[in-house]
Amino acid sequence: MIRQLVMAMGLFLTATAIADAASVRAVVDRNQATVGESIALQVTITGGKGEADFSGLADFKTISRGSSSSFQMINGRTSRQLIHNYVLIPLNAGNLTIPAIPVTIDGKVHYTTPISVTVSKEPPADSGKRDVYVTADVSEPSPWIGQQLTYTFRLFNAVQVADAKFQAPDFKGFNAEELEKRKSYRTVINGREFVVTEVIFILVSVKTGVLEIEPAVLQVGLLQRSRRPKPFSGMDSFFGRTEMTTRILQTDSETVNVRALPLIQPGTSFSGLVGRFEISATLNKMAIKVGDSTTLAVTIAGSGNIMDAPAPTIPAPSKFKTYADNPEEQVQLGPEGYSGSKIFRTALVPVQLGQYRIDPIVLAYFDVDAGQYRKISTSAFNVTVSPSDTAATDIDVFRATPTETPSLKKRVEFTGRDILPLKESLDAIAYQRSLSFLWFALFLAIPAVGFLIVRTVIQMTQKDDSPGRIMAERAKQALKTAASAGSSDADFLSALYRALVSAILGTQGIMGTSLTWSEAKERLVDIGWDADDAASTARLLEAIESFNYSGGKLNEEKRADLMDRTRKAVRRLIR
Amino acid sequence: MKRLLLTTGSLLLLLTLAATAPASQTARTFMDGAEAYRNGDWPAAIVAFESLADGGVNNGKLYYNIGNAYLKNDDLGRALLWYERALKRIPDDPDLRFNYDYALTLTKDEQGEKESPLLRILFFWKYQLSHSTVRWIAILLNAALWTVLSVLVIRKKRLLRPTVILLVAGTVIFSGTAAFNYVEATQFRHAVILPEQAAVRSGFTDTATQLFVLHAGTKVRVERESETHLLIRYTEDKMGWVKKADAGMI
Repeated sequence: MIRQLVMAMGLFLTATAIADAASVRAVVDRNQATVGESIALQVTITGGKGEADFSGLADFKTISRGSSSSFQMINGRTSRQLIHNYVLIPLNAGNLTIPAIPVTIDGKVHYTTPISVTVSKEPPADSGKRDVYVTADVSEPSPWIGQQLTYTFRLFNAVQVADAKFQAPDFKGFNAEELEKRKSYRTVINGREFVVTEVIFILVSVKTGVLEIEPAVLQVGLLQRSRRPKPFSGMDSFFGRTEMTTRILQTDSETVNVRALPLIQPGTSFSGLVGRFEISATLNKMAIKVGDSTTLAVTIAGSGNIMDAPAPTIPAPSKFKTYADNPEEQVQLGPEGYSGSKIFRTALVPVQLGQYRIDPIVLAYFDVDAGQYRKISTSAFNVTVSPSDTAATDIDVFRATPTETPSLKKRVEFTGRDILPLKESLDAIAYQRSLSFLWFALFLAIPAVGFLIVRTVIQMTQKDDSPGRIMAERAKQALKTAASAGSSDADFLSALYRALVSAILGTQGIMGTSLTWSEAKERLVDIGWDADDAASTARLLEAIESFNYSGGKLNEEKRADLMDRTRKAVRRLIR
Repeated sequence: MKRLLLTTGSLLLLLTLAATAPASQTARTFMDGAEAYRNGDWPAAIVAFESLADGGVNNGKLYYNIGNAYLKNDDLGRALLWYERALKRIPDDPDLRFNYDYALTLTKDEQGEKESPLLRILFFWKYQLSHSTVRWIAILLNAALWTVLSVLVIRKKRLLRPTVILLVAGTVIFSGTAAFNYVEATQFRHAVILPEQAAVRSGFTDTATQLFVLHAGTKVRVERESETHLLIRYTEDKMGWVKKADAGMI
C-alpha cells in the first residue's frame, strides 16, 4: 500500500515537472508572400524568459516589433507567457524556410519548429498590380567628365504609406546634391492610379570610367484595411481597422560610363566649362571723353559648372586702363542641374583720344550635346574717345591703395590640357652609358687605394726626427769633425766628447750635451752593456774630458788611440 | 707622288664617311620622327623613335619623345610605359614631369602602391636625382674625401675635423643610395598595363578565374614571370597573373 502511494506521488510530481517545463513556439501570420512583403512572426515562450537568435535567417530581413507578456490560470495553475513580435521581409523568391530558431531559457537552448514560406516574385512594375514599388534612372548613361546629370528616384504607391525611411546610394565617383524640393504627382498605370513621389539628385562626375550607382533602398509602412482575419489582429479585424505592414523596396543599380574629354586642339584656351553656355557683352557708353570711364559687362550664362567660369580676358586697346570688378554670380540648382549666369564688369578708362575697337571676347567650353569644344564670342565694340574738358596733363586716374583694394586674386585653373612638346635637340639620341656596379665600386675603391699608397710612401720616406736618431746623427757628425785633418787638439777632443755623449744619450732617446763618468757608466749598463765595457767607455769619456781641460799636447799616437776607441764605442752604440 | 697623295686622300675620305654614316642615319631617323610628330603623323613618329630605342639609343629624352607620340596616338598604356622609363633616366626633367602627371590624370585605376610622402621628403635626393647623377655625386664625394685625407696625412694634420666628417656623411649617403638603386633596379621590377583593359587571373589560362581588371597605364609590381605571363601585384591584397603582352616592363 505504501509502495503504491509513493509511486502515485512520484508520477504526480513528474507530471507537474513536465507541465512546468519551458517551451517555445513560433507562428507566422501567413506563409505566402511576395519579395519585399512583410510576414509577421510571433515567438511565444512559456514558462521562462529568453531571447531568440535570428542569425540563421539568411533569406529574410528581421525587424523587431517589441514584446509582451501575459499570465494564464488554468485549473488553478498559473503559467507565464512571453511573446516576441517580429517582422520578416523575404529577400528572395522561392520556397524559403524559417529555420528552427534557437531560444536560450535559463541556460538551456530550445528550438522552434521550422516554417516553410512560399515567396513569389513581384509582378512587373508597369503592370499596375503592385501596391507600391520604386524605380530609379539617370538622365545620361554616358556623360562626359564634369557633365551634370540627374538621378531620379520615384516611389509609386497605390495604397497609403507611412513611416518611410529612404537610404540614398553612396554615389561613388560623383559629387551629388539633392534637390530640396521633392515632387509629388498622380499618374495612372494600367488603369490604376498611383501617387508618385520623386527625389532628384544632381550628379557631377569627378572621374572617368564605368561607375556603378548602388541601389537606393526605401523602407516603408503600408496602411491597408484588413481583408481577412489574421491570427495577430485581434479585435481590429472584427471592426475592419487598417493595419500597417512593413515593406523594403529597392531600385536596380545604375551603370554610368563617364567619358574623358577629348584632347583640346593646340592654341585653344579652354575655360574649363562643361555644359551649354552663351556669352554676351554690353558697353554702357560708346562715346566718352579722355579720363571718363565706360563699363564693359560680359555675361556668361547657361547650364553646367557655371560657378567655375573664369574671368574673361578683356581685349582692351592699349590706350585704355582697365579695372575689373568682383563678378556677380546667380546660380540656381534645379531639376536640370546647376544653371545661371556670371557677370564680369570691367571699367575701361581711355587715356588718349581717338577711335578704338574692342575685339570680341572669346570663350571656349565643352559642349556636352555636340561632344566637342566650342568657341563662342561677343560682338565687337567701337568706342569714340573725345578730348577731355580738362587738359590731358590734368587727368589723374585714381586707384585705391593696395591695402584697400579687395583681392581679386583667384586660383588659376587649367583652361586647356595638352602635353609639352618634343625634345628635338640631337642630344636626345646621344647614347647614355650606364655605369655598371663593378665600375662604380672600382671608382669608389680607387681613391681609397690612392690614399693608402700615399700614406705608405710617406711612412717609408719620412725623415726620422726622433731624439735617438738626432743624437746618433750628431755623434756621426762629431766623429767626422774629429777625423778631419788639421783640427786643433781642443777641437779634436771636443768633437770626440760630443760624439761619445751623443751616442750614449741617443741610445735612450734623450737629447743632451754632457755626461759625467758615473752617469755614462749607468746609462751603458741600463742599455745592456756589461759592467766592464761600460766602465771602459766611461773611462774613455773621462780621459777625453781630462785631456781637454788639462790643455796638454796630444801626440799622434795618443790622438789615433782616442780616435779609434771613440769610433768603436760610437759604432757599437748607434748600430 | 701626286697619284699616291690622291689615293691616300680618297681612302681617308671613304673611311671618314663610313665612320660617320651610322651617326648620320640615327640623326636622320630622329629628325624624321620629329617631323612626323609635328605633322600629326603619330604612328610614323612612334616607328622612327622606337627604331632608335631598339637600336640601342639609351636616352631619357628619346624615351620622353616616344611617350609623347604614344599619348598623342591615344595609347595611354605605352605612353606611361615610356614616361616611366624616361623618369628613371631624367627624373628631374620638368617637361617630362608635367606630361607624366597629365597622363596619370587620364588613367582609370587608382595608384596601387603609394609611396609614403614622408619618404619622398626624407630621401628627396633619391627621388629628385637620376641614378646616374647619384652615382657620380657619390664618386666625386668619395674622391674628395680621400683626397682631403691624403692632404691631411701629408701635412701631418689631425684627420677628424668637420670637413672630413661632412664628406664622410655625404659619401655614405650617396654611395648607399647608389647601391640601393642598383639593388632596386635588379630586385624590384615594375610594369605598366598596356591595353585599354587587362584581366588579371588566378592562372595562365583564359578560363582561370578573373580576379580583377586593370586598365591602361596602371603601374604594377612584377613578382615573378613565366614564359607567357607575369605575376603582378597591384596592391598588398591584389595580385595575379597577367599576359606578358598586356604589360610592358619598365
